Amino acid sequence: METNYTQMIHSGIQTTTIAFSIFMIYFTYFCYKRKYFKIGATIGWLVAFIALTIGSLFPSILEPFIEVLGFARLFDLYSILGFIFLTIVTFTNFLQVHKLQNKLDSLIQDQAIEESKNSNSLDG
Amino acid sequence: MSYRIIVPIFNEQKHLSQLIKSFKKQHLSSLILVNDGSTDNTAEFLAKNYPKVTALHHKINLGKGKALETGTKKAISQKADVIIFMDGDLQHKPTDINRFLRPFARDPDLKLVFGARKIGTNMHFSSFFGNKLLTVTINLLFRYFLNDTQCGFRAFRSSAFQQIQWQSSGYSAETEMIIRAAKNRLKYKEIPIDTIYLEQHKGTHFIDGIIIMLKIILWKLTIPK
Repeated sequence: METNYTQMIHSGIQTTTIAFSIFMIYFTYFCYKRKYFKIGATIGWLVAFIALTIGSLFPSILEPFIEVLGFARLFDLYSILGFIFLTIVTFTNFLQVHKLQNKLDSLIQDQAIEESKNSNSLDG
Repeated sequence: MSYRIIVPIFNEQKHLSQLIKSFKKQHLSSLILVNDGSTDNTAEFLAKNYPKVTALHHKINLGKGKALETGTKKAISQKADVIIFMDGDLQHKPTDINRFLRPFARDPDLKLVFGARKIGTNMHFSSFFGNKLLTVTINLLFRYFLNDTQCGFRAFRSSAFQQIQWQSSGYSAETEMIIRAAKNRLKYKEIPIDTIYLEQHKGTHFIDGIIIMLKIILWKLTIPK
């Protein structure tokens, strides 16, 4: 077990994940400073990326869950959590885009009808 | 009986003069052009040359279904009893408009009149085959028997709009309209019309046909009666 953890700590995956999550923490902060995000969204994303950084630095934190949830390896647990997270984000994105599309459609249609009332066409 | 003729247009500037001139004076005041985000200066052309024609302008392209919906909402706000849809590429003859109106005057229970392109019209084989496939599928699944479900020349009573109101934004809107009419068992009539194809590449393509077919199956399962 100890050998596996040592291998994992030194693995390229772990290094990449840590580098990625630190970059994303900076990028989230950058988006907040540029006022792209409000405070709620900023805190949400920061918590997610800090958790990813901690999880990558100290993978053993999640060790107690492996047996309880019946996973063979720690990496499997991370993969499943990653898939769940991506699914939630994709679904939320789809929902938001769909709602925006409906709002945009209504806005453009209402504007077209409203502007025609102001034109000098036959209906006045 | 008041009526409005809704013609969705998208980058049809070169045909616009011919299209507007093809309408008799009696119909011109009932014409509503819906410019669906054209990028060929259609809006400026209409404002300059035909300021008296009612034109609605979508700032961006929303699709044929949304253009028809905008026109319908405008027509209803003008208290139109009957709403007629025509394509903007000159394939339909405005001289047929009275043929669409007459059945409504005769039969108060009639809700929709569909145009059916005559057999032998110079339709491309793939379009003809796709059209027939979609038509047969709708006939079998919804027991609403039409000869041409993909013809854009059609009319309906504005009182039936709520029952047939489509959600689709693209070409499938016309098919959805039929399916909603079928689900509500609305009384309809079909009349044969002549069609002239000036541009073969316009209108529904093979991929649109696939999308419509998949949606038909979806609508069979999801649209309530």
